[in-house]
Amino acid sequence: MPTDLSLIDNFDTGTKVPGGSPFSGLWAKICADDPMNDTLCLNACLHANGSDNPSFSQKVATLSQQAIHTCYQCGNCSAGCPAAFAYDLQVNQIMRAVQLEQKDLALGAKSLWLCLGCATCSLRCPNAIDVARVMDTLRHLAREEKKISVPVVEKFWLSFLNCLRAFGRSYEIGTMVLYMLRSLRLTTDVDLAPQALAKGKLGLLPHSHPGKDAVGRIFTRFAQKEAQKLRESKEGL
Amino acid sequence: MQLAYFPGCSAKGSSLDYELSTQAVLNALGISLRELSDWNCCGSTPAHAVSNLLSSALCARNLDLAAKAGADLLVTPCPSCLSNLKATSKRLEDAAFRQEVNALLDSPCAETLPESTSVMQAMAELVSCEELAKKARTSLQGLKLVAYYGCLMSRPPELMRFEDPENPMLMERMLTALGAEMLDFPLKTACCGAAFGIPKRPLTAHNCGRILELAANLGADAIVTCCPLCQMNLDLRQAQAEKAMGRHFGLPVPYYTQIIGLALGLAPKDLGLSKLVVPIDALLAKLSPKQDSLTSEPQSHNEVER
Amino acid sequence: MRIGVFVCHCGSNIGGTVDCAQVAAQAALYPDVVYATDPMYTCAEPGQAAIEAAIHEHQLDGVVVASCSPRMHEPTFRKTVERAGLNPYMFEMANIREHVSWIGRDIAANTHKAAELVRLAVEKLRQNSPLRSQEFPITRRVLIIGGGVAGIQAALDCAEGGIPVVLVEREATIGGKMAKLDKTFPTVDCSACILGPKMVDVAQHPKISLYAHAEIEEISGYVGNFTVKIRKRATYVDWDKCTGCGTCTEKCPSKTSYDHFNEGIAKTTAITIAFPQAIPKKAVINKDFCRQLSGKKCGVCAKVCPTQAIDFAMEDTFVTENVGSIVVATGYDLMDWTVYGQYGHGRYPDVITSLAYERLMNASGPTQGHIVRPSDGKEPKSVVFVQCVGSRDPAIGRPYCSGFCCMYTAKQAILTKDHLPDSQSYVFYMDIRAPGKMYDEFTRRAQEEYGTQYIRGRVSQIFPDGLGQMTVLGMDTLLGRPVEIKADLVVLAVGIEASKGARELAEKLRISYDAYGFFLESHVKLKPVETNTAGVFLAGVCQGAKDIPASVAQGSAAAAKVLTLFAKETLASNPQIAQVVLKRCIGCGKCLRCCPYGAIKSSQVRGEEKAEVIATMCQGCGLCTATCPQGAIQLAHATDNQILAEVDTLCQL
Repeated sequence: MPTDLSLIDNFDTGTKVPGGSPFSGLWAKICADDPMNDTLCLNACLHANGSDNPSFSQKVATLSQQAIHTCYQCGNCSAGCPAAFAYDLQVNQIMRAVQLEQKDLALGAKSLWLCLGCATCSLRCPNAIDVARVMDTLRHLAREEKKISVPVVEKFWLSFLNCLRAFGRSYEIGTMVLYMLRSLRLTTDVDLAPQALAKGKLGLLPHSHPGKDAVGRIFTRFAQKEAQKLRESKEGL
Repeated sequence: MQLAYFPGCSAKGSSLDYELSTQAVLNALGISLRELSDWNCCGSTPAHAVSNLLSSALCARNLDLAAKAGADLLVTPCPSCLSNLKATSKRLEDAAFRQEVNALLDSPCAETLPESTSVMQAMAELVSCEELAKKARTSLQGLKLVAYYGCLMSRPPELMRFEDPENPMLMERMLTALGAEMLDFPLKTACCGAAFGIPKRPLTAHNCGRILELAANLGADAIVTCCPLCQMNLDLRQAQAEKAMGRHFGLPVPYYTQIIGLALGLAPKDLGLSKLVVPIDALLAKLSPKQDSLTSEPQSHNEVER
Repeated sequence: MRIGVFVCHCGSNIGGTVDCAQVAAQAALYPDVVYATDPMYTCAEPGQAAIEAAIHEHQLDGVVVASCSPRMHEPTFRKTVERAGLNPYMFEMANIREHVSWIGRDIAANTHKAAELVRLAVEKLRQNSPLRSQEFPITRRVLIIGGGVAGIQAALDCAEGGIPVVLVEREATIGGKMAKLDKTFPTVDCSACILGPKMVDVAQHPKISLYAHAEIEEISGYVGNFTVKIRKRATYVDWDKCTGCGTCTEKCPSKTSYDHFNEGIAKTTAITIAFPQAIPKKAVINKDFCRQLSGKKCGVCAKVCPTQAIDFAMEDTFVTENVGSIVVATGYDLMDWTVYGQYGHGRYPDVITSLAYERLMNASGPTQGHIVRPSDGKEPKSVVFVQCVGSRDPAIGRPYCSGFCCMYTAKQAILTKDHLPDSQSYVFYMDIRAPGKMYDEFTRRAQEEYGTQYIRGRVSQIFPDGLGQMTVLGMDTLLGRPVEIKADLVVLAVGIEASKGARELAEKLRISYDAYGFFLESHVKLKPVETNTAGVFLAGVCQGAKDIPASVAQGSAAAAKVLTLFAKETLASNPQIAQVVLKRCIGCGKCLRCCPYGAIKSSQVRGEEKAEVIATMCQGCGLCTATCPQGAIQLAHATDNQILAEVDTLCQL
C-alpha cells in the first residue's frame, strides 16, 4: 500500500535523532502528517499576553462590541445554525476557543467561511450576544492573517467584488466566469445555466451605468487603505 | 414624504419577474416610485464579509444619491440590499466610521441621509389590507400558501424593526385579506443557504430542502417569497434540493407581488409568471374571479400620485 | 460627661486602610473623652468585656464605638453598655467600615474621615439623655397569607403551638402548586396523599380560621398589633349552605371555562369545585363564563342546588382581623413562556408546560392520569423535555435559576416511562442541579434505569413537521453536533416568577422585594425568614426558588419565629419616638393627618387642643417632626439639638 511504502521510505531516509531509536524519525513523520492535539496548557494560553497587550479575546470583544465572556455554553447558537451540519467547529465551540485565547483554532475554523450570516444565533442567544457579529469579526481577522480555510468561498466573494469594481453593479455571468477560473471549478452550476438563460434570468452583458467609475474609485481607495494598513502592521512588527 | 426606489442588481438580472410584478402592483395600487438614478450595487454579502467599511462605502454612495435627489425614504424590494443600507445608516452614526467612509467616496456624503425600508412595508403603510381587498378582482380563495421571509427581513431585529422576528405576519395579513388560506409556517425565517449555492452547493440544497419539505408536508400550493436570493434558491435550485432530500416537491415559488398581482387581476405576462422555473399553472387553475368585482368598474391606474 | 471611644480594627477590614491607633489618639483629645483605644475585634466577647471593664475603671457615662454599620451591631453594643450599668441610649456608633474603609484605599484620607465621623458621634453623645422603653400588650394571633404547602405548614405549627391563625388564600382551595402535582421527587410518592391530610388538618383545626377566595385589602399597625382588612371575593355561592355535593357542576351548561386548576389542558364548567380533595370543598362561579352572570337566561345551578346556596347577587365583602404577626407565603407563578416565538408563542397544542404535564399525569386530572397529546388524544411515544425555559436567560431579563426544574423533569421522565413503557424521553439541559439529599442519585436513575436520554444543550426551535409530530432542533454540546428530535409531545420546564400581585402586597406590608418581585429576607444568611418589618416573616418560594422540603422547613421556621415573638405577653416599645413639646403645640392637627401609624391623637390640656403621641404605636419615623410648623414635636434620640450638634461640628472641622 502506498501509505506503507511512504512510511518505509521515510524510515530509511528519515532524520535520525542522535542517540535516539531508529523509530523516532518515523514517529516524527507520523506526527507531522497527522498533527495530534496536545493537551492544552491553559496557564500558558491564558497568560501568554503581557498585561499591556489586549488578549485575543479582548480584541475580538472590542472589535465586535460583544461581551464574549458572558457565553455560558448553552449551545443555542449551534442548535439553530442552518450551516452547523457543515461546520468543523460549532459556533459555541468557536466562542469557547475565543474565551480560552485559542486564536489559531478560532481563526482556522472552516466554519467561519461556511457561516451564512443569517443571525439566527444572535436572535436565540440567551445572553444577548450578537454571535453573528462575532463570526463576522473573526472572518475579518482571519483575512488579515491570511488564514482562509475554505478558499472557494473567498474566491467567490472576490469574483463578485471584482465584477462590482469593474461594472458598479453585480453581473452574474461575469462573477461566475471569474469564479470558475479562480476556483478551477469549471462546471459550477452549468446544470442550471440552460434554465436560467431560457428564463432570461442571466444577463449576458453587464448593465452599464455612469456611476461605475465612482464605484471603481471606492474600490481603489479601499485597496490603498488596506495596503497601507498592512505596511503599518509590518513596520509595527 | 418623498420616496426613492432602489431596485438592486438582481432586479435587472435573476429576479426580473420580481421587478416586473413589483412595478405592476405598485402601478395598480397607484403608488409611483422614482428609481434612483445611477445607483450602484450595495455590495451584498461579499462586501461586508470582506470589510464593513467597503460595504458601507458602497451603500453610503446610494444613500447620498437619494439624499441629493431629495428623498426622505429609500425603498427597495430586496431584503439583502435593505439590510446593508440599514446597517450602513447605523454604522454612520459613529463619527469616526463616517469619516473613514467619506474618505473612500468622491465627496463626503450628505449630513442627513434618508431612512431605508422595504417595498413590502412601504406598500402596507400606504395601502391597508382592507383597501387591498377592495381593489382585488380575483379571489385567492382555495389557495393554500405559506409565506417565507428568509433571514434578512427580520434579523437582526433591532436593526430591521420588522414585525415579530420569530413570526412575521405581514405577507399573511395581505394575502389573507385577498382570500388565500395562509398556513402557519415555522420555517418562515429560516435561512435558505444564501449565496452558498455556488461555492458550497450542499449547504443551500440541504437548507432549501428542509424548507420545501415542511411546506410540502403542510400541504402548501406554493411558497410565497419576498427575497430574490431565497426565490432563486428555492425555485431555480429546487431540483438540487430534491436530490438532497430524495423527494420530489414541484412547489412553485412566486414572489408575493406576483400573487398580489394575480388578485388585482393583472395579466400573467405583466407579472413575469413565465419566468418561474417551477410552473405555477396548477395554482392559476384554482383562481376564480371575485364575486363582487364582476360588476364593479375597471380599476383606474395611477389614482394617487405620490 | 465622661466618654470612652473604641476604634475597631475589624481585623484588616478597617485596620487595613484606616490607621485606627491614630484615630483613637485623636479621639482622646475630643471634649469629654477620657478614654480612647483601638481593639482588634470590638464585637467579640473579649472586646465587649473590655468596654464593660473600661466603663467601670474610668467611670464612663457614655460610649462611642467606631466600627461597622449600626444595622447589625448597634443592638449588640447597647446590651454591652447596659450590662455595665449604663442606659443603652448613652451609646453612639460611627460607621468607619461601610462608609470609610471598604470604599477607599487612601489610608491618610480614610484616617482623616474616620476621625471626623468619631468626632460627630462624640458630639451627638454629649447631647444624649437616657431613654426608657414601655411595655405594651400584643395580640397573640397570626395572619398567614397563602395556603400552599409553606403556608399550611406555618399555620399548623402555629396552631399546634396554641396561636390562633387567620389563613388567607387567594384561590378557592388551599394546597397551592403542590396540590396540582402528581408525584413528588425524589421518593415518587403521591403529592395529594401527603398534602391531603395536612389540608384536612387545616380545615379541622379549631384554632385556624380559613378565608379562601380572599385577598389582603389593607394592612395597618405594627409588630404585635396589626389590623388587616380582608376582601372576600364573591363566589356567587353561599358557602355556609354549600355542601360540596357537585350537582351544580354536573348540570352547568357552560362547559368552556378555562380550567385554572388543570392549567388549561381541558375545559371546565362555569361553576366548579377545583378538585375532589379541595379544602374548602365549595363551589365557585367563574363569572366570565357564567351565562346568568353574563346577562343571558340560565340559572340551572340555582335550580338544581339542593340547599339553595346559589346567590347571583353576591358581592365582595370585607372582614377585619387583628393579629400580632404575619407570615407571607404567597408562592410563585410560572413565567409567561409564550414570549418565546421559537417555541411557537403557545400556538402548538402539543407544546405544554411542566405543570400542565403534572395534571396530564395526575389520576385526578382531566385524563384520569392517561398521558395523551392535547392535539389528538393519542399516547405519545417520544417525549422531549426542555429545561431552563425562562430560567437563566438574561436576554429576557430572567437570569436566575428556578431551582427545582431539574428535579421535577427527572421525575416526569421517570413517570413517563412508568405510564408508557414503550416511550422514549429526552431531556435538554444546561447543568443538572441536584444538590439535595438523594437528589443526584434520582437524576442518575432517570438515565440509568429509565433510559432517559439527557442531552446537554439548549433547544433553538420547536415546530410541527406537518406530519403530526413536532421537530425539536437542539444542540448536543458534549458531542459538538446539532441534533434534531421528532417528538410527539414537548414539555417545557418553565421558570418561575413571583406570584402575581406580590409587589402590591409587599407595598401593603412595607417589606422589600428584589428586581424580580421575590420578597427580601432581612439577612441572606442569618435572618432568612425575617423581613425588615418587625413581626412579618417569610415562608416558601415567595422569598426565592425552593422545593417542597425547603418550603416546609421555612414554613416551620417562620412559625418558630411567630411562637418566639408570642412567648411574651408584652413587647417593649422603642423609646426613640416622637414627643410633643406642649408649650409650642398650637393644636393644628397636621401631625395627626400625616402619621402613617395613627399614633397621634388630639387631647385637651387645660382647655386647649394639643397633640398627644400614643407611645406604643409610634414607630419613630419622624414624619410628624418634619411636618410640624411649630417645631413642637421632637423625635427622641434624633432631636433638633442632637442633629444640629453634629452639623455644627461638621461645619467647624
